[in-house]
Amino acid sequence: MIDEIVRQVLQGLLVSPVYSLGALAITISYSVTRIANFATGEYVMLGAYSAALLTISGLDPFSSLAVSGILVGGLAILIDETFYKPLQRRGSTPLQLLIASLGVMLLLRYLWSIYADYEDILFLTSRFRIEALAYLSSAPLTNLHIVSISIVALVSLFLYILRHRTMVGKAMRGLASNPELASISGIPVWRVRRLTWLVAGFLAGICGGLWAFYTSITTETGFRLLLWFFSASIIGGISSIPLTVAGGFIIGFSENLGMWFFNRFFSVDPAYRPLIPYAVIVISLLARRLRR
Amino acid sequence: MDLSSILILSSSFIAFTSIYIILALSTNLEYGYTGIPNFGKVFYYFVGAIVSSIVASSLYNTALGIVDGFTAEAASKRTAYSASNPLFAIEVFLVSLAVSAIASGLIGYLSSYPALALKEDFLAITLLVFGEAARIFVRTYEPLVGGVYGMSGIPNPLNWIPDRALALTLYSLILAAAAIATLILVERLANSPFGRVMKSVRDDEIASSSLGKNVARVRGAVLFISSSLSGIAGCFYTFYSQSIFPDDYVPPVTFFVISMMLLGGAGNNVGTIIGAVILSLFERLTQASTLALFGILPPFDISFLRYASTGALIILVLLFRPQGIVREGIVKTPLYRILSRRLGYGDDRGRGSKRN
Repeated sequence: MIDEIVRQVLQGLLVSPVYSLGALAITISYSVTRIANFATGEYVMLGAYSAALLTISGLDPFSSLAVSGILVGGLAILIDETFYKPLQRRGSTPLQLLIASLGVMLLLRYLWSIYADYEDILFLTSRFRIEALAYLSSAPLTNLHIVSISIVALVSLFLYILRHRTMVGKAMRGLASNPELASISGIPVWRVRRLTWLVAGFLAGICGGLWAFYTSITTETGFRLLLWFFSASIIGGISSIPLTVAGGFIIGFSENLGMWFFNRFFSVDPAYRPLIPYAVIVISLLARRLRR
Repeated sequence: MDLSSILILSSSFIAFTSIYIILALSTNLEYGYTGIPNFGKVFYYFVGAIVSSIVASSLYNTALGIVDGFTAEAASKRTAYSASNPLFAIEVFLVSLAVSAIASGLIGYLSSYPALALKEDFLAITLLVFGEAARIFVRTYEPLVGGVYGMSGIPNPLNWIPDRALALTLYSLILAAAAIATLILVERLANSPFGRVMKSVRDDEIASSSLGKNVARVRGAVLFISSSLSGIAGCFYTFYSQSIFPDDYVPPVTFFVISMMLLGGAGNNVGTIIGAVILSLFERLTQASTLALFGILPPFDISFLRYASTGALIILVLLFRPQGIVREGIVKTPLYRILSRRLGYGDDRGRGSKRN
């Protein structure tokens, strides 16, 4: 029994950092731009593909993560400049922006699907080798654990310093709390916004890369993960960085330990696993009452 | 092509277009008129499909004494029974239609609770999650409609007509009539004082509640009506395909319906219908089987192209024509008509008057 619990905890530790990174991408972009970006899942999917393809072409894992992060960051800026910014300048409602991000999501995912189907890489596995470093009561602690946990720790530290110890971060927070006031007080609104998208895209890119190292990917991966990211981000109230990271871990652990618990004591079919994060989303949304 | 295959092809066009029209009109009622972003549209559609297939199959199973309703044998027995008992087949259809409309409507009414508590974007996520959760539950929980493999043998109410092409054509005409009835219903609703209240809730909730309108009740009523319409559409689709597969009810269906409404013009029923017709024709024409008729064999899955162009369409409409093909009109209540006649602008139908 202890064996199984340790196994589930390690499994949770493996996926939670990925959820945290994706959720951070949503939190950061939402808190500054007020767009609930449905396309984040696709950024993650594209990051996963680029990291997997880069490792296959022979690049080492860390450089592939960094390159895919930068690529996706650039893509996020490009998407914002071409689609979201013109819409927001025109005074579109949050709902219209949400639907626009839906359109971007469909466009990115299926354009990439067309390419992937043409190249026959709809189902892709990266070259990253998961190796067991140690065994904790028969459950393996792998190198991916170390990589992803240290990345999420570094990233959250970096983000915390960026937001709370630098002028840019102050500008970001100012923009988040009141865009009009921020622009009146001389904050270069659009430049800060570009930086925000770069950071969000970078996070989504490395999140996808880690996911590609963890398991095989398809073009539907992004959408499947998107709802997890949203739930983690909503647990953190879509504003706080530490709470968002914690949210990712809550989702990861509740998914694994919770499913194990229900399976063990109530013999629930593991196929119901996705229902746990969904329940967490609905409960946390209704509990937090993100009121209009 | 002979006559019967032309009839079957055209009936599939009519049937799908009508189903999409019903879905798009109900989305328009929610989003276009009341400002509720229902990203879980497919959920209510799915509820209609589930309820109607459960009701229909259990009615048949009781009549025939079938114990396990999910086998192929049971399905063919049900189909054979419906072919010899026209009255029973039609009764089952009508009962399923009524039950699925009520069940979807009630679930829609219940979802007006989160619709009240949440901001628009989070509401959209919540409803999307409801739909996905329902799909995962249904595809895993086999006693409901047979899990991943679904259930077939939900006989079409017109199965007793020996000519299959004729039966399908008649059924698709029934669906077209239902779509027209839906248009009349939502048009009456929109051009009533209640329609004005819906728009006021959409435009400024606080102002409308300060004028004594019960925002919660308006939302609940709208969600009840629109969800039961979606449930009806789900029931129609189930009896058209004579089967139910949980994996047909994925979020892209919702997004497709939303893009129909956006293209045609949110807040305008005629526009929504135009959008629905355009996009469902596009959907039918870009089926791999239809393209193969013209000798086009793309080197990738054609449905990817369809979804990608749906996304591109959503963005382009929002960027270049946010009001859609037909812009939102004015509410033409009876009082408006009387006043416009008395005050002498426009004719008695309120046409040609100043835009408000």
